[in-house]
Amino acid sequence: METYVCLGMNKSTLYKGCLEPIIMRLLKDNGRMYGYQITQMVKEITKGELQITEGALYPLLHKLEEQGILETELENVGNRVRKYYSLTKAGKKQTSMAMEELKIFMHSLQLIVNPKLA
Amino acid sequence: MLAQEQINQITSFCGSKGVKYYDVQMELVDHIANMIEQKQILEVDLSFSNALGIVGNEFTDAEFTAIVKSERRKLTHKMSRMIENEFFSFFTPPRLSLTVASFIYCLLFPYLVNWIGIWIPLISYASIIVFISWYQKPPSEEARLIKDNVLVPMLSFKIKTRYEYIVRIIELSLALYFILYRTSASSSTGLAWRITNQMILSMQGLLMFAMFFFILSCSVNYSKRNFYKKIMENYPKAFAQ
Repeated sequence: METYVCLGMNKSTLYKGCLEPIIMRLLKDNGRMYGYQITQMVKEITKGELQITEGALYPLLHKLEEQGILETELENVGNRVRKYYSLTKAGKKQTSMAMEELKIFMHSLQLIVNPKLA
Repeated sequence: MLAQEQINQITSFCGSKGVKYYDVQMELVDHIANMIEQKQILEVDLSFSNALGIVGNEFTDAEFTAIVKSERRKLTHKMSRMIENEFFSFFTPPRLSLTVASFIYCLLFPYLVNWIGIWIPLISYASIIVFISWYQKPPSEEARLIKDNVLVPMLSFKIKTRYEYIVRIIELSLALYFILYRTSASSSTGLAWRITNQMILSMQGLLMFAMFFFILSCSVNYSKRNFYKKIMENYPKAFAQ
């Protein structure tokens, strides 16, 4: 079997393009979440395989908020302020579309990596 | 749960990394505080300062810069959208009727001047502009009051959209035009005189342009005031009560 992709690439590079749908999916399933909670949940689900850095997570969350996909809510937790992110109505629609696109992408990857299984 | 003093230390740490704005710091402070709490749960003997040191090393300076940049971009976009919505509301019902009436008044202005003299039409024009821009509490004044009440540096108050620059440029252009007009109107070679005569810049055109400028200026002021009000609601601790 021949492998064409990802030689010498690290995992974070591979996951980078999928971060957006991953976050949107998590928010769809969990309602509202804060930054740290997202990083921990991703780490837990992928058993430590995918660790989102803060430098990647927050700019992405801000970008999604700018695009109207996410909305924020501030809440006082003890002596600090916590910012919760949740999907907007448009964001929920976008999530379904993003998941479809991700499935197509995964299928295309299968075709390349493992044509027999695909 | 971390004590207030420890939260203050995390805030100072963020400040030392270039995140000096309260509205950006808050999110990072909560994130770092969560990381420290988690570390202390796993390692009971770990002191706060050691935990902060470990957590701090997990961040690079570039990450802090990227977070501030993305927040600035988001806020600029948010404020621009607010200004655009406010501006277009002048061209949709119910405000549209007032806008159309104002523009029709500009078209009729020279005829009214011929009919009843300059003063009544001029005062009416000024009243329309005052009505458009000041019928609520002066927005720029309210925005300034909110800004003056803030206790810590906020990124939201540093945001400048392209619309503000456009308003400033038009303001300067209008001021320059009137200065030129006043200083050279009597001379047939004066620049403003030539602009007025050769570029078909009619009185109606000028009045309409000024009206359009006031609408844009109002949109910027209203949006800024509403944006600042929202910031005040979201971060009450950052403002003097």
